Amino acid sequence: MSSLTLAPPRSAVLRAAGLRHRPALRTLLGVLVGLLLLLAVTGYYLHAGLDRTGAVGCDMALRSCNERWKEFLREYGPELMVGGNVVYFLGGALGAFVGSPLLAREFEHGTVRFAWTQGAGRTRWTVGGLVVVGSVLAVATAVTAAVLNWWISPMAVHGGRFTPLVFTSAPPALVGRVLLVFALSALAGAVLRRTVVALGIGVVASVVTTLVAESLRFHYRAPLEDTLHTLAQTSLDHRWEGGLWVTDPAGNRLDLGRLYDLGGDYYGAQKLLSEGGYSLHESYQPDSRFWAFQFIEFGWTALLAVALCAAAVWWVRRRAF
Amino acid sequence: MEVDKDDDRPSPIEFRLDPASGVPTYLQLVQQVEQALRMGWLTEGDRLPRVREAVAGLAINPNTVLKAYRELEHRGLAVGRRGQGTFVRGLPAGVVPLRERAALRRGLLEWMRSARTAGLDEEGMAAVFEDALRDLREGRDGVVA
Amino acid sequence: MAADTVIDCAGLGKRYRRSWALRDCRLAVPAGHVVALVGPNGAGKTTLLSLAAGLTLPSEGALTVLGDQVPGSPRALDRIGFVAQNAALYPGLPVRDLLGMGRHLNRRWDEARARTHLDGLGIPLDRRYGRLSGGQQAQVSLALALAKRPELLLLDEPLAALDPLARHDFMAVLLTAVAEDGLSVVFSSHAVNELQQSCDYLVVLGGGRVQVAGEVDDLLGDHRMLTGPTAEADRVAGQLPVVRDRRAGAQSHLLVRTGGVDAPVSGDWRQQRIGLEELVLSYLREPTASALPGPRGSVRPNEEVLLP
Repeated sequence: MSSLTLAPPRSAVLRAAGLRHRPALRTLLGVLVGLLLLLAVTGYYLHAGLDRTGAVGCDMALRSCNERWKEFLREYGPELMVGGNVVYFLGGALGAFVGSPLLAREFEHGTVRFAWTQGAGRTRWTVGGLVVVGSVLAVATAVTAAVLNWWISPMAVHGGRFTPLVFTSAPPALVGRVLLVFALSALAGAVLRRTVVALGIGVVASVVTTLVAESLRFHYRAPLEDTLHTLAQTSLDHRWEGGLWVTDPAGNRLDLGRLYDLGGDYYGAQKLLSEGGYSLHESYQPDSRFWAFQFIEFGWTALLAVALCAAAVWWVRRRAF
Repeated sequence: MEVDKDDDRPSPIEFRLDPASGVPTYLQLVQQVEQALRMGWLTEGDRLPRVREAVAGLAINPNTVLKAYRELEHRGLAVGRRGQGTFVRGLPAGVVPLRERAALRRGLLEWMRSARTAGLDEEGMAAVFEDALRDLREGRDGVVA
Repeated sequence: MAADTVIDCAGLGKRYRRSWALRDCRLAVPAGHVVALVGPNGAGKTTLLSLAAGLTLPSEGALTVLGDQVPGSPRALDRIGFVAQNAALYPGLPVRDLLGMGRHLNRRWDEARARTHLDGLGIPLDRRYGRLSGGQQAQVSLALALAKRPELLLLDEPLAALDPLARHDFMAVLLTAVAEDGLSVVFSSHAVNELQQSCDYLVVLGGGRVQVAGEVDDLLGDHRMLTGPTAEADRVAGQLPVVRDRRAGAQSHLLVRTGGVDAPVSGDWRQQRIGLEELVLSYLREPTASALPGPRGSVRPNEEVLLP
């Protein structure tokens, strides 16, 4: 008369977590769909404007091209800057909104008492929740980031792909950052058992992570070096310029300002470089390393995210309710 | 714990509970069965309510029902058949079949009418009845019916 | 294979920050009973149930469930059901999804039974849990716990928020499951008057300690309320272990333990048995008194040690 199920498969915990989080995930997807629509519409205007002003595709060394670029910036610059900065600093906060209630709300509402007394136990339950929600979040963020990256791509026209606002909106970097904030918020929620506090921590972490990543980013791989004997900007290959310094004929390092002091003015400095045995050195990351850097950034943020998730699981396991 | 299998014969009686009566629950059930037997609602071979039904209806501990049925078995009034339920076996002393009972009742009503004509009110009638009952009891040398 | 005891603890204590919720508890709750865990708010009932369910760990002492199982271990989680206070579940989920969660998270799951039960009560599977009435929520929580086919069911104040009809329905379902499965039940309550019909084992917690533990029939048979003249109260009290002593100018009431027999008093003294509520209240009013399982029939006169 009764139908007993015996030993559900290991994936069953994931299905249970999916059921439990379904409403929240639906909300998340709804919000992101709305965001995507907004980006699609505004992005269309941005790109149309770009085409209209003709700021793309022209030779950047030419003054006329620069003028077009400035016109574009006049019209669309503020929008780009605001959108870009919001994503830059607060993009990770998406992870905070999703991660902070994940464990904290179970404590606040007392549903832990149900979840932890089921046969699967609290460890598997927590892992299941983190995996299911984290995966959906990662995929949704990747899709959103693709659209975001397209949206903000006008900025890359003159600044190159390594421009911070552009770099951080590409899928690998953004997904990594969002997952990191997600994991940290979930851990904070597990420890503090308060959603709002965990959310606050997550938002702060979003900003902190951005700044930390920016300071580390140039050093992901040893930069290349170029030696020049002219001050004129010759490279238009959208490389990411790091340091700029000068060496005198004896090989001592000077900074650029010193060169100007020695030369007196621009032309004097130029002369020192072209004829005086002085060299201008530039360390840079070539544009071709863009994807490598993306995946390095994704790598360390995602690894940290996994470690923080593991910490959350460990905490739940060890600590009594 | 014995679980009564489904049987299409329902029990003729249902239990009720008076939580405030001060009488232990199991004893209330025993008394209700005895009362039902006296009134003729239950006869030999009838099934007593299934444990599950009694529990579901009254929200009482199953052990209480089992205890009541054991007591009824002890008094010789019921017998449990494994897997089928508990059934009425014998009748308590003092049980009168329905027809004779009706006749006795009619006789009593007639007496009451004549008592009223003689001027007795209800309390007076009850006093006369209790006196006579006591006489009857003592007349039998302390053997209580 | 069922164990003989469902909850065993010795020297069990649990501390939250500075205060002890439970202290020095010793219990050996037998299987196959409906156990009432009573006590005032803050007495430690929720703590004891949480410890048994594996939700929290003891600060001192030990507790095992179902014989020798560690609470919270996979085997214990499989065989123990827990219904939390206020039946807290996910308000945004439909009942159907809650059943699905139970199905995926438990090795033993009787979906058909849960559905039959909920259908019988008219609870629609598509309704969100948060939209159900208090009584319906309690029934859903109970159905989820029973669908696991547990050997032991722990319930934390399941009736507190329910109206009388809902309470009756809840207990009817619970006790029917006991009748059908031989399930052991431990539920906590701070209302004693309704427990007498459903429970056959009683545990009284007062101030974090176990004051009373035993079969209800035995406990009620063990105690007598003696009423008589105050002038003789001292003499009578000296003969029997007194649980509670209340004296007025002329008349005194003594609640005594007699070990199952009538008290040897006569003359102006009346004795009677008391009900469960009066028993519990008397012990709760006398925090140092206790009635714990010991050698049967051990009545030690002059055991006034029980009173402060």
